[in-house]
Amino acid sequence: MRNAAETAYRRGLRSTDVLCLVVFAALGARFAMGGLVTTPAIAAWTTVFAAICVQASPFLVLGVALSASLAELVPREFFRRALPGRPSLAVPVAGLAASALPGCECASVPVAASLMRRGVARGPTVAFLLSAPATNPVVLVATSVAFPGQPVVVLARLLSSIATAIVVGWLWQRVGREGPMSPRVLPASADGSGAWQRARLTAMHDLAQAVGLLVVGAAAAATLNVAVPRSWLDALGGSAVEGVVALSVLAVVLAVCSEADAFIAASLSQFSMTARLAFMAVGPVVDVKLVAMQVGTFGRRFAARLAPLTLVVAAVAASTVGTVLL
Amino acid sequence: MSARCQSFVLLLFGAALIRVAATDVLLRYVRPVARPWVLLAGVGIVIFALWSLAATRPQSPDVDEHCGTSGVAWLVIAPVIAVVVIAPPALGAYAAARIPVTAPPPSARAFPPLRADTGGPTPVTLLDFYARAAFDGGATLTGHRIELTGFVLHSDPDGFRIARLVITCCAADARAVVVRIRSPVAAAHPDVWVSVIGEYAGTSPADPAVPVLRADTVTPVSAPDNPYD
Repeated sequence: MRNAAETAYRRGLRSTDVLCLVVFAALGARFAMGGLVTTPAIAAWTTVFAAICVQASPFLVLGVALSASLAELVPREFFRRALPGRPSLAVPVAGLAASALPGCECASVPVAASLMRRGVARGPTVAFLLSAPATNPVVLVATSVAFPGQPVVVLARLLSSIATAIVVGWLWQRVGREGPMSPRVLPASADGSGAWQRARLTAMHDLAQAVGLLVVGAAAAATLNVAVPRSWLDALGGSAVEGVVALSVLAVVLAVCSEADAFIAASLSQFSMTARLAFMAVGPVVDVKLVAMQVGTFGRRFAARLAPLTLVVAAVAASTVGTVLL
Repeated sequence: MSARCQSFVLLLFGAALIRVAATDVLLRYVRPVARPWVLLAGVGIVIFALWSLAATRPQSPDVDEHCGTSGVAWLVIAPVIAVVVIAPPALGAYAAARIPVTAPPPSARAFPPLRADTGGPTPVTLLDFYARAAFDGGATLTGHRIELTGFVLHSDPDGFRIARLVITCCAADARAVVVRIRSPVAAAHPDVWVSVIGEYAGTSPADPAVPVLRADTVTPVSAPDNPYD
């Protein structure tokens, strides 16, 4: 025990040291090479990258703060008692109820794991997992900010995400096997005990994780924005079906937080609205970092079956809703 | 990454957000309406990170062990370096030349007549100039002396082009509005801000999305606080 603590202590020191080095190197660079970035391409890349990070940060903070306090401070029994006994009914109820949990997909995985531990059936749990990151108020507000004057986009996003969650939830209840799903137990608080300390640790982890993953997404988006010739994207954006496929794949690869993805969708203005809707419908439910989290939480087999199923259903739902509404 | 280090990184990130929101640097990246929210987020993160630092003992175990944090938390430093160390300027001619001219259709269908200032030219935004030319045939523009402000995009045989970027939300969704300036005065270098005064002269034959201004006065000006329309 003592050994482990000592190792952790040393490792903690080391990561702090690295941080200090990085900060001093950055400060040095600032003074030594003030005019370093004169290449227009690099300057433009950095501007777009910083813009996405700055714009998305308030939504990340709001989402992480709310989800951490809800996940830690609301009694978990509440969800189970509120759900109907029949799974076929419980799936839509869970899908709709999930929109009350403000957070991004990173936040919904641990909550879904705890639902499963409390004995909620697999269908409703999956419906919750898929609906929470896409239909909650924070995401919808972000969407309406990203598409000003176009409330129909918010409605279309809500409808396609709810439809995806319910359809996949029903399919999962029917065909998914119970299997040995053993979501990892969240640890007792690392330092001190009590709900507030746990909420603080959860929030810090979620925030650092969410910002870090946003950075990955923003970097990829900035690269697309600056480096990829516009004619490529324009060619893809021209065709309806190719646009939906291209942006669905992009959503999986970019792995942008659901609270920020509307801003990136808004920037992909050479694509049709339906394709951009597919981007916003797929992103919150299937992406590389989310699949990684699901593998870590629910096991490899679960993720390997859920991700492709969800991807197809979400793309089809978005195409249908987009064709009708947009 | 240890819990302390995570707090430090978040502290830097929050401080960078405050620094951006407290100055006009913000306007290089996002619209002015975002300012209070960015400021609030920065203050929230700083308070939270300080609280975490105060509550975490130095020997507290690595959060990686149970939360599955990968090295991804390190990336939080990247935006800090981007806005504090690199501090790139607002998007300009380089971006505008790459972005197709696809300014949005105007929100209002009816164009009220331009306010006729006594004597002096009427200042018009590039977006408004473009919209009145493209969606109203320029009916409300003719007969006015118009003043436009934008950055030089490149020179043309009979003048040059100026542009302004329009953002909906942040610089990532920028679209360009371009106006062709027919002028005997040679163009300044790209990215130099100019104010031009002249009369509306239809749209560019080769490119109907580009309206033309026949200018008689071209004055270099300093870049506006908000570079985007």
